[in-house]
Amino acid sequence: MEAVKNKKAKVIAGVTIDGVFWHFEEKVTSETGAQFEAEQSGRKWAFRFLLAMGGFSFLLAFLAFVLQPEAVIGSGVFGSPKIALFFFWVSALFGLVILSQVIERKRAVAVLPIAKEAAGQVTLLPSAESLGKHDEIGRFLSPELRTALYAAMELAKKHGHTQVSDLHLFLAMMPAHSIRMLFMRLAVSFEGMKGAIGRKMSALPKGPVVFDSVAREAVAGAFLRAVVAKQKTVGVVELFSEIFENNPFLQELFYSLEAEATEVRETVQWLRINTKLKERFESFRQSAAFKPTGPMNRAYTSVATPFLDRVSEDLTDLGVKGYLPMLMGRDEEMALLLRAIEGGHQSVVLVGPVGVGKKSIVSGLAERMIQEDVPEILQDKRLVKISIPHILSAQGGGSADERLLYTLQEVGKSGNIILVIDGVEQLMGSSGGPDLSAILSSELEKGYTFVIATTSPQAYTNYVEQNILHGALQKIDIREPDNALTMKVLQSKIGAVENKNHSIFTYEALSSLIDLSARYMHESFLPKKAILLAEEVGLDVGKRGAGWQTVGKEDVASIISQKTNIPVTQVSQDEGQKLLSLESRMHERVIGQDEAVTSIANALRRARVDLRSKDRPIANFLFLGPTGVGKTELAKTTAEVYFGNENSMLRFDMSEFQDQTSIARLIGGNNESGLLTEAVRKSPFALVLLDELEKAHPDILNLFLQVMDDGRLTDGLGRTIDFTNVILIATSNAGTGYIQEQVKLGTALGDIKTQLMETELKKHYRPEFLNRFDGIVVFKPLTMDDVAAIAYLMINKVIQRLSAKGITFKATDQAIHELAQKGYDPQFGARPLRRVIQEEVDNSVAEFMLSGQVDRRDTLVLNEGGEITIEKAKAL
Amino acid sequence: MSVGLTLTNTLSQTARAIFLWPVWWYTKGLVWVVEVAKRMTIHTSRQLAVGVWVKNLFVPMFGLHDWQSRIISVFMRSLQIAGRSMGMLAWFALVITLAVLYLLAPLVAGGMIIFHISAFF
Repeated sequence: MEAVKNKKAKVIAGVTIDGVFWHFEEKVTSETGAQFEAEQSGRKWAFRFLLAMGGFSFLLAFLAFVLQPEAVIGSGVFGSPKIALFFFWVSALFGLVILSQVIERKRAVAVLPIAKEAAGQVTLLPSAESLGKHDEIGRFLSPELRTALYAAMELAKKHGHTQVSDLHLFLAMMPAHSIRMLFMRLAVSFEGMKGAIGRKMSALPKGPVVFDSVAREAVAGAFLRAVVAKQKTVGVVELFSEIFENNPFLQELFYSLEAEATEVRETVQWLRINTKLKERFESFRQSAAFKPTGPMNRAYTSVATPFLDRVSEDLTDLGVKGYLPMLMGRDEEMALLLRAIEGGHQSVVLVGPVGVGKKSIVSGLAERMIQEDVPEILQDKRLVKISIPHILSAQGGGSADERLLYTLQEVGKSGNIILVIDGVEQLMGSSGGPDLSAILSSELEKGYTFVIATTSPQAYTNYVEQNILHGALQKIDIREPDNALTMKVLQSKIGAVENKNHSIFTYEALSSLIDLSARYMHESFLPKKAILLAEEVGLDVGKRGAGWQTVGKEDVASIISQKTNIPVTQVSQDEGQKLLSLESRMHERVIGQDEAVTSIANALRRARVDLRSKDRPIANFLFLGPTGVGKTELAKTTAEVYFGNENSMLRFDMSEFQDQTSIARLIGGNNESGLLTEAVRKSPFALVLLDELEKAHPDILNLFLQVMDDGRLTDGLGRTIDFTNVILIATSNAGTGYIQEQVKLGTALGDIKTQLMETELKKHYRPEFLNRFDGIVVFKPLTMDDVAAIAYLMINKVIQRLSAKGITFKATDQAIHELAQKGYDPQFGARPLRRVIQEEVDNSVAEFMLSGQVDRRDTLVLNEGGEITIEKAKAL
Repeated sequence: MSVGLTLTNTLSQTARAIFLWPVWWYTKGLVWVVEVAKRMTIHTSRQLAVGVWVKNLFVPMFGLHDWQSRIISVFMRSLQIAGRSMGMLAWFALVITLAVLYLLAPLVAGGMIIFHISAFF
């Protein structure tokens, strides 16, 4: 125990661990700082000097020997004094001194004690006299942290501040490698903090500087954090955590730079995970050296298994060679697995979807078996995975039963093998092969071995539950890990991805990998889908340049956008402008219907900046109005604007689903998938258009009630189909007559809508159904001006079509207005216009082309009266 | 940082390294050697696994349970135990030799330097 050196300190900051009060009372002044630095540098130079002297002596010994070899050879050690041997022994002596320095340097920083009881918190004691059993923290500080403490002192002195504060310590840590790494992971730049920190520091009191209780408290807190985190020394990361947690200003500063406190904490953990993994791997390597890799166990009681070796792979052997991944977390599942094996010597089946980590758990078991950190029944045993294709292969599975039996007999004879069967349903005939479960079941009953099988929930229901093996296998559910565990798994795996692709992932990038893959990749499961996505993003970003590239959340979003066609990247300034003027873009295709366009544009803007509810569809709309007024056109435009393609639209004519049996056609049944559910499962990012909804059977409306509320639907196969990324638009002609009538009378649209909701719509839809829509939009009948504008749009399409054939088409304004007049029908909206243009324009043009009257480079002009004239191009 | 301070420190650290080295060698250094020897001995004993062989002395080797095999097994295991025990002993001998060499190394080096220094005169 060291005595307290600074008796003058008013209060002593420290922490009590297992009855010992740990405190930092070393003198930190400019002088001690200079001394420390000089010592560090002096030690470095002294070591170099010793190396040089040792090398020089050896060189002299060698030279002396080369010049007079006969003086050394043959004269014996004690023959007579020799210059060469003198230098040789001098160099040997230097060698011993250097050896002592190397060992001492390794042991320079003491290893932190391990707390037996839960550690308390930093406390302040009034005086040195009140100390009981106490000890000094200083010897556990890493040289990097020590350098930072002295640098903080110098910084405070330079600015004339009275105390070394949190901010001085914070700034002094900046050059440290781990802190730079932390900033990089957080995608935070120190440059962005300088101004705010400068202003804050200018307000600090001025006077002669001391390294007092504030800084000592921080060091004691860092020590406590290191002990709690079971670190070996107290490093800068611990001091950073301590300062960050106790300084609201710094938290606010990081927050302003888009790094929330939880992100900072998680990133600190991430930095530690790598060190922990390294330690765990080294300890594993040491244990692995004792594990036999062949078929023979340590007790030499097992038997060679030549056939089994041909149809299997030895997981313990692979583990010893370092080919298996390290398991993160999953303590609960591992405990269940070991309990099942130890308790009843029973075989187990791990049931979970592909990608949730069943294989990792089996690898984790192999790792523990290698370290012999398992119940006695698993000690000195091999974990061997049968290759089912090898058992089932050859002549359509013929004699597969013999091969399995032979394999199992070898397992029985050997007596040191635990079997792993990946995808056990394959032995039950799921892949069209023979059903071998009876053989496996009868052999398991004999009790000479047990198996660890894996399967998916679906295969478990369809095969295992109905199989004789069901009773022999204890089920352990392996669920998709939560975000926190997935984050740990990703952090442990990301190093390999980074090294391979020369890219550095930020914390936000990892977080996005989890969030976005969970939201947009429904076909696979965490953590696998996040890992695969990380590899893809890493590869993509790594290709951008020669050096190391930083992977941010935008890079992840960009890959997700490419995969799904959904805009998930941050809104750029350019796109922001476009979104603000969405209405005018939509009006390029949809004429009139301002209210409808505005409603849709607002919903899309909300969705794009992620302000929408995540457990409902992006938007639910009901479009009401007569036919031909632009309902479908607006839906198509929406699909184009949001999903990038007007074909990203799943259209269902609800008049085809009028009876109750049509529910099965929509969502499936009797082990069949449904039209709607299958379409959305395959294209989860699409616009679902339900035409003429009022014609659908009322029970179907109830289905959509659930879709609009929960954003999901269960299909006939029991799968949950995600509807949270669709835009649901239903169109309805209900109340059309009323709308037309009221528009004619000049009633305001708002009043028409209210009246519709209260009377007309109630005949077709229940109020709770109507309430689920984000907007019920009434489309007005088209006016003559609207139809004229549509005529211009349609003629533009004719121009584009003919331009592709090298023919120019022109139409006079009068001609277009004539077409509009002919095509105007208040009852059918713009529909007749299409027919008129087909008859009056398209048909004539087709005739001209077929008769050869019009050629490339010619111009067709549509004149008043519907006459089309040809302007022949000049001969070349 | 001043050059003078660094130079002074370099000299004092070199002097410390050289003059305090004998003390370190027979105190902290010796403790280190004992720790390393202990660690390596545990490692070797786990590698040779004499305990596993003793525990399984009467368990037939290679899963052969007939009485002839059992007799051969006990015999072979006894041989293994004897061989491995000898291996352990050899290891101890090696460790002790290395420890003695460690203890003698400074004395030998020092003695030889003093002996050969007269070659200059």
